[in-house]
Amino acid sequence: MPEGASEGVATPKEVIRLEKISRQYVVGGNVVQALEEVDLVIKEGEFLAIMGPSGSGKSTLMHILGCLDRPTSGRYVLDGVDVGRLNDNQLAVIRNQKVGFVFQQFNLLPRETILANVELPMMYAGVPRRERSERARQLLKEIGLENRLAHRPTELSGGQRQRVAIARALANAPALILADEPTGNLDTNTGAEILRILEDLNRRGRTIVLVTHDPNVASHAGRVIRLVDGRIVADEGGVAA
Amino acid sequence: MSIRETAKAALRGLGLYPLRTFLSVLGIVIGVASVIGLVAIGAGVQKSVTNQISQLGSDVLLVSPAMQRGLFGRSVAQTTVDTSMAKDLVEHNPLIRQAVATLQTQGTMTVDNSTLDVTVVGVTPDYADIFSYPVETGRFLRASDQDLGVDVVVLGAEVASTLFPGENPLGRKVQLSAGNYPTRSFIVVGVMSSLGRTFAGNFDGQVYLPASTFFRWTGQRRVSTFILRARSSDVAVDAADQVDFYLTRRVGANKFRVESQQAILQTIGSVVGTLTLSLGAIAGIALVVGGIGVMNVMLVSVKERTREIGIRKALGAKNRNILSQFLLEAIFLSLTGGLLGLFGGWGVAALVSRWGHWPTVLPIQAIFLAIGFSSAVGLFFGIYPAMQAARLDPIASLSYE
Ligand SMILES: Nc1ncnc2c1ncn2[C@@H]1O[C@H](COP(=O)(O)OP(=O)(O)O)[C@@H](O)[C@H]1O
Ligand SMILES: [Mg+2]
Repeated sequence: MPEGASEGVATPKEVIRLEKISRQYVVGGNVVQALEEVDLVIKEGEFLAIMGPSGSGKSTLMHILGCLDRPTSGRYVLDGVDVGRLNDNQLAVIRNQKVGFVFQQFNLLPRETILANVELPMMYAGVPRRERSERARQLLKEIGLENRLAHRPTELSGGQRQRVAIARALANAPALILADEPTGNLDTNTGAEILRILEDLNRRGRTIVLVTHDPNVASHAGRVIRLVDGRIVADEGGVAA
Repeated sequence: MSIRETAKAALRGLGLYPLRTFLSVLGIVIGVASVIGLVAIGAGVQKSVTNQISQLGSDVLLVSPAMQRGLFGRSVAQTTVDTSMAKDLVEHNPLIRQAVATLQTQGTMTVDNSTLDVTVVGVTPDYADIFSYPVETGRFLRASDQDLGVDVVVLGAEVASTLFPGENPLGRKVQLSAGNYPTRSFIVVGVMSSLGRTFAGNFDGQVYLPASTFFRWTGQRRVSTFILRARSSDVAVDAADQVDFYLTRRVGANKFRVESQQAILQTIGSVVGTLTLSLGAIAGIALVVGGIGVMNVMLVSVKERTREIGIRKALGAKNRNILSQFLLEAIFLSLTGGLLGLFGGWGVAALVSRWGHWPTVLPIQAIFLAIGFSSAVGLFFGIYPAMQAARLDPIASLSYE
């Protein structure tokens, strides 16, 4: 936000509002509390890094944010929609329209071309063929892979694959990009390149939530929250809520 | 996601392991191939029988003395009647329009140095038109031939073409010998056109003499076959009963065998019908086995592609998108088997029909049946694996190795 624009202009809207979100797993009669009463608000245009030791609930939180999983209790409002009331099909639509995932394992379909991979979310959205293909080409061009349209993911390097995954995440122009350790499988240079792309996206207004172990990676984010045993123990650098 | 896109995804899945795909649909291939093969063979036989019968006309009846094993294993006719009975058969059986008697013996015909085994048939001149047996060249026997008992002969098509290749047999002299009868010379006055194979035997291999000449030569009066014609094809079976009843009264039970072409047609029809039905049951079992093969390979495929399913779900695939993708894949799978079976069965039927000299007939319904059946098998046996796929939990699928 530029200085002096505080009066008269609405503060950025909330993309995410979590209220007392808990997620517990029952494993062999024991209850594992993966998330415990997490409250979190993320505003449009934020770049938020989630840090924390292994098993602290980072992935669980990401799954809930991405509507791949449902909380055991609590309220989750994503881009104005109270997600808790939605059925499976409606959640699929939310994942398709409002969320773009970037995974540590890239998770591209190995037998499809990279063009088809980027088209996939638009295919499930019912975007007409020509439009879909045009947009996918455009997205791949922006990340510099326009010469590789017909290649399979296996013919690409890790960094290139992750760029394809980012293009795919952007396909339906989602409100939110979720990246769970996107640089975890990449060497430092390639990782830095991926981070630059994410930063660039953020500069252009995209809301990004990123999980990382790496303080250097986290330092690119405007806001860092720390999870320990399923609780938020620190929340630094964010726009005051 | 449109059907077209779902279909593309499904086809891609199929192409992954061609050998496994083929093996898994082998049951369907065999099932459909046997259905198609058997239906085609059945239809071919039926067509060939119908053709043979329509050569003679389905209103034609054959009446011949019943044979029984006599002393020393020789076949002995149960009764002997002479040619005059033909007239009685017409007079006493209102459903019969026409009747001719034939006398028969096996013999050999010699022209110059070539010899041929022939069936020598003594007939009255109305023989040719009772089942519209047309003359190719020359003429058939006439009333005057019969009245005068002249030594003329009319050749069946095959006899003429074998003994007179590329020559005109009309007016030529031929020698006939049969059994103990003295060899006798005849003048060829006509050649019949080809009738092909019929139920009453191979007409093309016969030669025809006036019945009176036949009797004078051989002394044989015993009728081999009466050929009758019913008022219409519709009453042919009833006419056969009528004649049977008449003959029983006149010469006793079971002395004659009365065959109507119509009855033969019906018998063949029902034999082919039961054959098709029972073999259809076997094919059905093969299809079930094939269906289980499809189900098995689909379950394996779902397992192997768990991660793909997770990715698709994360990107917004609904359960029904996944369901239809895998369901279509199963249908394509068994449809592939169905098409392979269709061509396989067709090929087998074509081979068998060539060997059996009948036409290859593949009823269009059989093709639709094969395609419909294999799709249905794919649908039925694909539902369970597809539901398994659709129900997968996205998070667990995404972390599946
Ligand atoms: N499907 C599951 N079933 C049981 N326990 C789970 C499951 N997923 C995660 N957990 C548990 O929840 C906790 C948080 O896991 P996770 O969110 O994966 O942590 P992180 O991503 O921070 O390493 C861990 O104790 C983990 O064992
Ligand atoms: Mg994790």
